[in-house]
Amino acid sequence: MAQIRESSGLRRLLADPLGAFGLVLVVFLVAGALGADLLSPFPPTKLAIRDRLLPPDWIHPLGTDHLGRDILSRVLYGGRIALTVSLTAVGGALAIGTTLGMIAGYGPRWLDNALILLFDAVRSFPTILFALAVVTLTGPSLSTIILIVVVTTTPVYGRIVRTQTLALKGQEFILAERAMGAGPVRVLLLHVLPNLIGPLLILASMEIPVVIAIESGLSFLGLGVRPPTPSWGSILNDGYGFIRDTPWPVIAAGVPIVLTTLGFTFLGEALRDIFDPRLQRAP
Amino acid sequence: MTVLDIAGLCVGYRSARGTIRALRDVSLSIPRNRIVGIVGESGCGKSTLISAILGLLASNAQIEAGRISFDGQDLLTAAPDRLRAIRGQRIATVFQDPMTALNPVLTIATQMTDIQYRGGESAQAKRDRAIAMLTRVGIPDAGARIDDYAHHFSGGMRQRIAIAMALLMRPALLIADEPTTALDVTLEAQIVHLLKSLRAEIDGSILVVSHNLGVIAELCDEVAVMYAGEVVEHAAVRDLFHAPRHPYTRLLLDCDPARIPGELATLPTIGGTLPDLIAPPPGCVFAPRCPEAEPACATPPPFHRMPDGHAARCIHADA
Amino acid sequence: MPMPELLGISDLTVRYRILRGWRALLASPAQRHVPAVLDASLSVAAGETYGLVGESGSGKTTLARAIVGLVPAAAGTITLHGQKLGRLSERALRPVRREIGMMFQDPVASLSPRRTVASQITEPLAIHGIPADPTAEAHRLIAMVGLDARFLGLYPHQLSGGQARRVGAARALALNPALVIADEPTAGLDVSVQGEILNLLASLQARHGMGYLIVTHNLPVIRHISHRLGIMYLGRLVEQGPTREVFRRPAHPYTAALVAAIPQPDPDLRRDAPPLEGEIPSPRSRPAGCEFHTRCRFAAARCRTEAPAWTQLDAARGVRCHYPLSAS
Repeated sequence: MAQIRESSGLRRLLADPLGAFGLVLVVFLVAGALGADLLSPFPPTKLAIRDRLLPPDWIHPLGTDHLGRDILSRVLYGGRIALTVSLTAVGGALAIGTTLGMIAGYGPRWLDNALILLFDAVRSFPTILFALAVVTLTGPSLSTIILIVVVTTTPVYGRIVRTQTLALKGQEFILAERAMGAGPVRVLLLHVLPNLIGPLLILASMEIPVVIAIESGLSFLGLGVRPPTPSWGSILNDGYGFIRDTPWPVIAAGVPIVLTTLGFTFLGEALRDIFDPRLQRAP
Repeated sequence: MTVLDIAGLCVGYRSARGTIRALRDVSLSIPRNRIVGIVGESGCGKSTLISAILGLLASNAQIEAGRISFDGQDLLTAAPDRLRAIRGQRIATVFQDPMTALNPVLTIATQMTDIQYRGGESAQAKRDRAIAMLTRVGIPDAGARIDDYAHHFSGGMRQRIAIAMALLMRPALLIADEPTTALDVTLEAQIVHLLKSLRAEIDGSILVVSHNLGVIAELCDEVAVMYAGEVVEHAAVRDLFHAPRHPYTRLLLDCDPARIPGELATLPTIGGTLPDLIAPPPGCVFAPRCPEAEPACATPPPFHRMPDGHAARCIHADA
Repeated sequence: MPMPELLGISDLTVRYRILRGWRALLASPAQRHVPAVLDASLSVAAGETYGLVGESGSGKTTLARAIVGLVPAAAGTITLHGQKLGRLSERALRPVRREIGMMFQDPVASLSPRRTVASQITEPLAIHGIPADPTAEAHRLIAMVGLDARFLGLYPHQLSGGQARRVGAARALALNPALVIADEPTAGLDVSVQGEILNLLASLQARHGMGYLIVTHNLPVIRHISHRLGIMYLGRLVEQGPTREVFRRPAHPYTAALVAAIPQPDPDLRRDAPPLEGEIPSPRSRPAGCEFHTRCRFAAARCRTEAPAWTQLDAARGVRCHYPLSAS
């Protein structure tokens, strides 16, 4: 009798050193962002001009910026912004892209052709130009960033999901469902989606640091969140102007960006390694 | 004269739950110019046996004991380059799926001249030999079709090409592992007939592995029956089919629908399931499912060998 | 006593499109499609097992799929309980689907990989909104196919081939269908366990009286389990009749070759030559006249030019041949 020992995914993840490291970093980030209220010694926007550009000490563990605001607090709240933007944007792109991709893959040919055209058209438009155009029109804000990311990454998910759906469509268990009279909605939600979602989530988790980097970049350029809202990018931007006085703002904002990128990337790759061979493994 | 001699082979697979004892004390010898068949169902170990002969065992396999002698060499301990020289040249294989042997991106001509690289002949001579062999196995218009790719041929044709490639090097032993299982019945009959007709030209032996009793009966001179990692019976083909001495063989023959005359409403089966090979039963491996089992079967039965060479691993064998 | 007709197929033709887009517009209809099933007619009565036999490329699987509406029929009619299925919309087809259960060739692949056995055997109930207790039904069905209740929580990849087949059978039978179509029910099964699934199907038929359409190329098996047979070659039915008769006295040369080709598990019954040479022609380049003439030992001039029509030899037997083998 065929039997596969199902060892817990979590256990396997922890067994891979890089994966474990990634998981730790991500947990760290999430904890910091969620607990920003409790962990921040000061409100992030509290001005204290007399205490400007202080190096780290016991009161200000990461020093202060050019307006005397506590950097640690700003970084913690900045983490919250980073997470909000990335999760919303990636989540939105994933949801819309998956839905459209499944429709394209499973539905009639003309609809598929139309959606492919749409995906390709959106993708061929240069991202940076698009971002600049939108920001110019609507002004910089969190929602603008989220919108830009969703629009530019939805086609990527859409195409991948479409390909996977097309491949699954011809599989015997889908034919069996159709033979039993299952409608397209049931087939897509209960039988196609669960079989695509694994690799897709991994892809999405590796997109998260990319989005955080985009947000930081746009904020650095002044096109992201408006001051005084703290974002890692804006902290970097502000700190860059005063780098000769104190390097701490730049370090304090740059390090979380690097760590987050590393963390999600390691985690995503480890998850992919766990999922793929198990999908392949048939008795 | 023996071409291949397997003696006391024990192979296990390491797994999370323990070692799977896939082959236990398997002994088999293949005489020269004979067609020997191995018949068995899923889990009997025939695939492991073939892999062991070819040196293609999985990485978690361990050879616990035994010897496989070919040409005076022990294949299990031979150096990799010796093994490579033997495999493909002296031992050739035809698999269930002909695409295992055929490279989809090279023409048949390229593949068939490439494998003759040790011959030292001219390219034209190699090509001519290849075309002659293709014609011999029944590929029509071989001179032109040799330049086609594998996907231009149907499944039956591909199997013929695979046989041609295997025979091109005049092997001492041809192993046919489920050669007709993937083919429809009329093509199966053609391939069986082809192998029979090639016999005179193959100056060597053939080892046929199949779960299809009809194919075994058509082709083989002698047959070994395997069950759960052991050889349970070995006999000349007529003796096996007409006077089987092991209960498993008898039950297996009874279950074959092609042997049952008339039309039955209920088909016979062998009840029970294969034993867990991580902890095989201490005595006779078939005893848990055997209708003739008795308390004495709790000790391993000897491999009774009759004067006519018919052997069976059962205490009732000489009844 | 003749049972009422359950399934009726009349002059069914199924084609696959091989050209699309602008190429299709420029090509002739013959080039645009390749026929997989041509003018097939057969019927299955309640309580009867009909064996649809053919080799690869015969069109038997396509025919089975056309019955459940997985592929569209280009011509001909399919009736179930006398009701025509052919041109029904998906919506209208749904109640009909409750009456037909299908078992697929690859038992593990025909089960949804990420859903438990329990959810899959009750899937037909969920699809058709049957208000029954899914847990109770799951237990009833798994017991009906002779598997222990612990299988309910397993996933398809944890099942052996034989177990997966039983699960497929449970799913096919969940709604007590009038007709069950089984595609190669014994493929990949060892000879010693083939009987298990076949005996199960037979006992269920004895108890519930459903009709079976068994699609297979395994002649020794179909001989034992079917009442009537239909032999297909290159998309056409070439012979039909009671199983026993067809095996003992085949009327079509192809049937005779198939029966003769079965490898006999007896070394004293060895054959000298294969009964049939050559291979099945490609469906795209069909021979003229009788499509079997290229491989037929008895082919005459008429066979090369004129396609034979279906002839009823007697009430139960029919054949598509100019010179049927003598039935004496």
